[in-house]
Amino acid sequence: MDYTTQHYERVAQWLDGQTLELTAQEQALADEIRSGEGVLCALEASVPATAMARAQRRLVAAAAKPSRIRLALKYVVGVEAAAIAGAAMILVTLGVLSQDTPAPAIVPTEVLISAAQKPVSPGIQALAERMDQLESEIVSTPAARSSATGDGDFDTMERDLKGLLRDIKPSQGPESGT
Amino acid sequence: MEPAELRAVIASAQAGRADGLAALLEAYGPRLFGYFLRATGSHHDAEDLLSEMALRLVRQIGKYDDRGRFEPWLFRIAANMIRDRIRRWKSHPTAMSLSIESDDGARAADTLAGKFETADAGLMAAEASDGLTRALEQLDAGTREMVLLRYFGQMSFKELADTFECPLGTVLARVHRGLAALREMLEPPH
Repeated sequence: MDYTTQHYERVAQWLDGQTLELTAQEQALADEIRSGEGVLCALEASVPATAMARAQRRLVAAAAKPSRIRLALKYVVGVEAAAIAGAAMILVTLGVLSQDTPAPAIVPTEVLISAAQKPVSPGIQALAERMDQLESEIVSTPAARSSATGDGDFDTMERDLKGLLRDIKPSQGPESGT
Repeated sequence: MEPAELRAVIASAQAGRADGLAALLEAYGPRLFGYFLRATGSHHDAEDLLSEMALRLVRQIGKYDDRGRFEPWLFRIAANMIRDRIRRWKSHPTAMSLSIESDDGARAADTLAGKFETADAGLMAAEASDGLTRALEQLDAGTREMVLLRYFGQMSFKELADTFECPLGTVLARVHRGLAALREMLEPPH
């Protein structure tokens, strides 16, 4: 039986759930499509348990990696901000103690906020970018597909970050506290 | 999976929770595997693609807009993976599916059959052992993809038309012809 493009369009809409009045010819086409799609149940294939397990392992590993990086970055930024804020507090306190008159109109919370909002230092930024790059390399390398590689690299990065944090000095605090 | 449960699982996955992502893979993994298997005709490739799909799910779940249906979104990613793989096969023909077509429409299986009958007959026979897979491979690539996405991805004809950027009537006409051809090939000879 010959069908026009309009027949096909209307039947497609009907099969998609739209309410249409089909002609007998269109209804026959719709029935033929439905019957033909019934054959497709033979396409079902069982997924091997090993393949499913492998996919699940990769998924869990991939889900864990970005959050680990985010946590590491939050940790770095948080510790740096706390160090700067601490330095500011010390400077403010020393300023207050060294004067006979009441404390000048310096509001510690403002100092703290400005310290917390201070941009991340270039060293930290470079490390963060390196971590992103490393993560993408790990995910895209063939080796990463077959085994949980990359932990050693992350450990090295973590050590580097800790080393950098140790190097952060109180002199990085805001100058407004003096 | 019930719609409410699916929404909750998707929300959990979008929040980056591994259990939400794992639940999605658990729910759709078998159908994705079936799609990959029928699209490539190879168990090995299907397993590989399923594994790659797991990674893509993690990376792209955040882009899913819950106003749309999840399955077509998921299977559009899967369809893109198949297309990427076909492009790679064409540019590096050392590892290719029997169903791959060259630019002039010649199927790889037809081209190779005479040349490597002795050396690769066993491998080819193993990969193309399923009658339905063989029948599917007789369809042109676009029609095969439409039929597979309709079945495994449960896409509506409108969604197929959007995916393939062609008119609604054309999609149904191709699916109709594809299904008729499949049925004819699968019917035992009289």
